[in-house]
Amino acid sequence: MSFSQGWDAGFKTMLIYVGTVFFWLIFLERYFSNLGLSVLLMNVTGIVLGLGFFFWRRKVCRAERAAAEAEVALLIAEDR
Amino acid sequence: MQRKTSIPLEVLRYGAIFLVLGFFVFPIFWMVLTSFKPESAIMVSPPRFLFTPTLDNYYHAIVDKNFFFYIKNTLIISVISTAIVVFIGSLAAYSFARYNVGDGHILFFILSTKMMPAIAVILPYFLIFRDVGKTAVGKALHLGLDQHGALIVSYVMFNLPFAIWLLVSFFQDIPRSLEHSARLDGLSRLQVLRKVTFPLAAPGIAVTAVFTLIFCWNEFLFAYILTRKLASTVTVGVESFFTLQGILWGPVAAAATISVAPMLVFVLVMQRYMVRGLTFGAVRG
Amino acid sequence: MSAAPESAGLAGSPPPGKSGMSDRWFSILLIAPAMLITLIFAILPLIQALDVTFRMGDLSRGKIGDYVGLTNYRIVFADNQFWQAGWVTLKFTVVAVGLEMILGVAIAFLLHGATFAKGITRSLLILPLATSAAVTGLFWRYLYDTQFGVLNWVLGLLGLPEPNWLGDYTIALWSVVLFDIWQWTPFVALIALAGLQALPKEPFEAAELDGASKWRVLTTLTFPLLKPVLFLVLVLRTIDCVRLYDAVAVLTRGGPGTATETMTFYLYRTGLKLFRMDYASTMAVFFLYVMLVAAVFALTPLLKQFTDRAKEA
Repeated sequence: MSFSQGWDAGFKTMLIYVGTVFFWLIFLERYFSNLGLSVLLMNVTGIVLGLGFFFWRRKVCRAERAAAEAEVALLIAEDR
Repeated sequence: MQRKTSIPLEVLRYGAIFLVLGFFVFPIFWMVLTSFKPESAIMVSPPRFLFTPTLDNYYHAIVDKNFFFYIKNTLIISVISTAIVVFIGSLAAYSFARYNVGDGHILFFILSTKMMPAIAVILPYFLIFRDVGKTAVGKALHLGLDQHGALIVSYVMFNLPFAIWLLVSFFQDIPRSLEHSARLDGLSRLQVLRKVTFPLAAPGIAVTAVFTLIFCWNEFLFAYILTRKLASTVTVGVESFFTLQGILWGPVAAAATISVAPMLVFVLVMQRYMVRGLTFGAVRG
Repeated sequence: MSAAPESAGLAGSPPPGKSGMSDRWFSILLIAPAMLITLIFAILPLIQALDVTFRMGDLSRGKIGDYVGLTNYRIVFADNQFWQAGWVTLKFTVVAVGLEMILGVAIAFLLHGATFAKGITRSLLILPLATSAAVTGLFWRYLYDTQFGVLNWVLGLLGLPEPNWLGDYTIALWSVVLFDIWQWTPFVALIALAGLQALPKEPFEAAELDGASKWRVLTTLTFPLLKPVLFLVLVLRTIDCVRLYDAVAVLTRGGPGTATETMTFYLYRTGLKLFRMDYASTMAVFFLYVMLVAAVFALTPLLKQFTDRAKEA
């Protein structure tokens, strides 16, 4: 994963986390009688979703890179 | 392209164009007309098209309300802001266009500040300028509330993204080969920028300057909140024609005409270039 | 001409012996002023606003107070007026941008076919763009006037009903939309026109030879080729519409009641009239978040154009 891709994924991870917090506060918190539990669950969900996205992006980027390297290797092999 | 044209269809077309133009031009026409009307011809129904023209409204706006004071402020603020925006923006845009610095992320960051609602930062701005205005540096640069510097800084910030956006597309249209050969002739990078690239990009830079100037000239919110009296611009000045008795339409029309006229003339002169500029390189042609 | 043969590449591979700076540093130096300004005047205020969202901030009682966690967010999200303002903004944006796009493209086609007085037409059309919404918007109140306004006079001549443009809460928002359409449709029209005029000729000639119907040419050639331009206009107009402030401020001041209170106007009222900095900042942060998410989707394709072209060569 290059720096540029990492930056991109990191930025979106942050957006996902903040988005989860907003979504939770607007739609879900009213179903909790215990505020502390709600906040805890909210953070857990946000972090899980955010990290899930980040690692998914990392996997995709690595796969792309591996594919590109394989292609180059193939070209070099053909040249010989 | 040769077209088959039928006369009724063409009549319909020009009829439609006439209607469209009528709709878009009429309010401005009416504004200018009203500014020359005597009081007795303004608050009447039905609206009057024929009347004895008078300069009373202009007299009221210019002499009683000292409207040229607002024009002077606006001129100072917008010209300086535009100069700064164009200079800083050109450097940055060149860097984005040629070196792809930040791989799009920095450009995204700068452009996304254009999405920021001005109102979201105006409260912090208000506090910042209030405090900075009391320091020595702030005093020297007129950065306090109701001073020109505060507005200039705000305008630079809020016009920079759009200017960079426009300029990047202009710089990308300049062939690299020219810069390349200039480098081979032994010019340094900065010399290339000054002697080759910027002259070639001059039309684009001019268009950007025109847009920035228009936006600064027409800005309302910052001027309204960050100034009280001494640094107020025309858009705020026109608001001052609200009185407890109601709005004085004649003087408002006169003031509005004075404040809009410079930009109208400007746009008419630059019209050809502006349209090309606005397509941001999405149109090649 | 003493430089050694250079490898093909960027404009700036330095001739030996001259300026030791690398391309990388040079490019960073060029964006430094712009970055500095953005960081100081966008990020700092933003951080300050963000900080206030977690605190008590009733300015009418003096200073910014203690940290209160997410309380401000809870209060703002439970505020009906806040959602009402959001709904007004959404309605305004969808209708105004939609109509401006349709009318603008229609006018562009109209003008594109015309051969007579093109220059004058374009010059006249561009005029509304150059005027300030705060100034002409104020004057539109005179046009909208129920007693002395030209609009109702014309409607009366035509025997149509004469609405109370700015006073009737069912109509007021659409009156603001009409003003926005007046000011910005020319913008859409002129850009679309530039796009139409720059279309390549060959595909259309080929289609004509093939005997394709006009409708087919329009849907399979003209619009797909115009898409980048139209998308750009759409993005620009949408950004401006959701941030709408000037027109509302001078035309209706949010009224009658709160019928035309857009998000930005509600924010302004909360922060600078009621002095609830905390709620205002919270709304601003939420607003900004929504815009950022929209930006990711809207700007990515546009930026890709830029970076792709920057990487060419």
